[in-house]
Amino acid sequence: MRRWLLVSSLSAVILFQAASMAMAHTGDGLSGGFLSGLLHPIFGWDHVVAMVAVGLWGAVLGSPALWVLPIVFPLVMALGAVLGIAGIDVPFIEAGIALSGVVLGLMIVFLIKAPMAVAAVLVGLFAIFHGHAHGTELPDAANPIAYAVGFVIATGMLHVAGILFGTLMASDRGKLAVRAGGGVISLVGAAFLFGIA
Amino acid sequence: MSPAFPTRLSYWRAIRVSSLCLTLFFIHTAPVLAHGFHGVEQTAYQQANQDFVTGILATFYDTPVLLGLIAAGLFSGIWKPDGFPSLWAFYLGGILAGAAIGFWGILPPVEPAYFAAIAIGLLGAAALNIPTNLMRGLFFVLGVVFTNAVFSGYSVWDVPAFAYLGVAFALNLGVAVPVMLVWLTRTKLPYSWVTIAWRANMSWVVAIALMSMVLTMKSNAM
Repeated sequence: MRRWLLVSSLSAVILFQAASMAMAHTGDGLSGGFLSGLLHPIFGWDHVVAMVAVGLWGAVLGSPALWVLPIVFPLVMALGAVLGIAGIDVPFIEAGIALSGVVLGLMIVFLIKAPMAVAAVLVGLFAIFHGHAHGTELPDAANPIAYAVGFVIATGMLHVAGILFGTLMASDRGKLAVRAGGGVISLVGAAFLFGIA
Repeated sequence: MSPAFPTRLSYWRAIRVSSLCLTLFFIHTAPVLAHGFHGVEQTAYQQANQDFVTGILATFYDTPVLLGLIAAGLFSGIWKPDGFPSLWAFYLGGILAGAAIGFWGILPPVEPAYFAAIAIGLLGAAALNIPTNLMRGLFFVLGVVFTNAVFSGYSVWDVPAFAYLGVAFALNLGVAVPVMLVWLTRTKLPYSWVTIAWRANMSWVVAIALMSMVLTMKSNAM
């Protein structure tokens, strides 16, 4: 038995000596930038509620707003990000982000059926604030382009979550749940606006 | 007659021998050489393979080109799910012209590719009903712009023959895969939300291309 242990341990030592260094999952490059970008909007509640609200309000408004708003938001958000990357200041960024949750949440609570153009302009205006906040952080990211890919995908997924939640609008109870969701979005936005969160 | 299962003693002996064999095996194996093209013309094949892969990577690692290829494929699929074959010849013509323009060096490499990706992305997100002849012209221009971006700064003899093949393969694969994805989803799932989802994806591509372009320009200016 002792002899077997000796042979085995010697074998293991030789094997470990022969093996090369493991280089997996170092976190450099794509994974660092992409994951940071992907998680940034998801872990920031002010961003989460606003982006879910865009999809949810689209569902309240119905077609074509249902798909126009989630297309307008990333496009205008990218313009806001460009301003942030270029170092052009936009006033009241944090207030604008918080206000987006409050306003869009109230639109959902009261089931306000704004005209398509008004809805698109309102969502686009808020998208500039969100985009600027992301764009300012972009140049500091490990891999800025991968970071941008991550946060655009996360934004889109949050819109989809809002649209899926909005499918409850088909029933009366579901409508109540959607309005309650709008109330929660508004409250979270208000908490950020007044510095409670 | 030997027993069906080893006795306790022979079991330990088998482990001892196996572990020793395993150790020797790990120490003495050569590096993995899968797809090494062993044979008479080993070096030539390996070189050809390496050049081909280099051509593919040079295309796909070029961010504006990659974004542009994805945008072009999605755009074609949104325009008409099975419309790409009618545009392909013009795209290939654009690739040939783009190689010449790239070697000539009259167009900047990066900006036109980004502008093309953004423009095509916006057209796709808007899902405009564009006439076939205009689409053919657009795909010719796309072929020119993408290939120019890949070959810009090189001379004809800098690029090995198999690298040309790799670039051509990547420029077609990069468009064909998104085309296939849109075609597959739009034909298997004939619902309006499928096209809408692809249009939303186009807006994502535009957003990414816009930010990447500004980041690239900013880092070049610094």
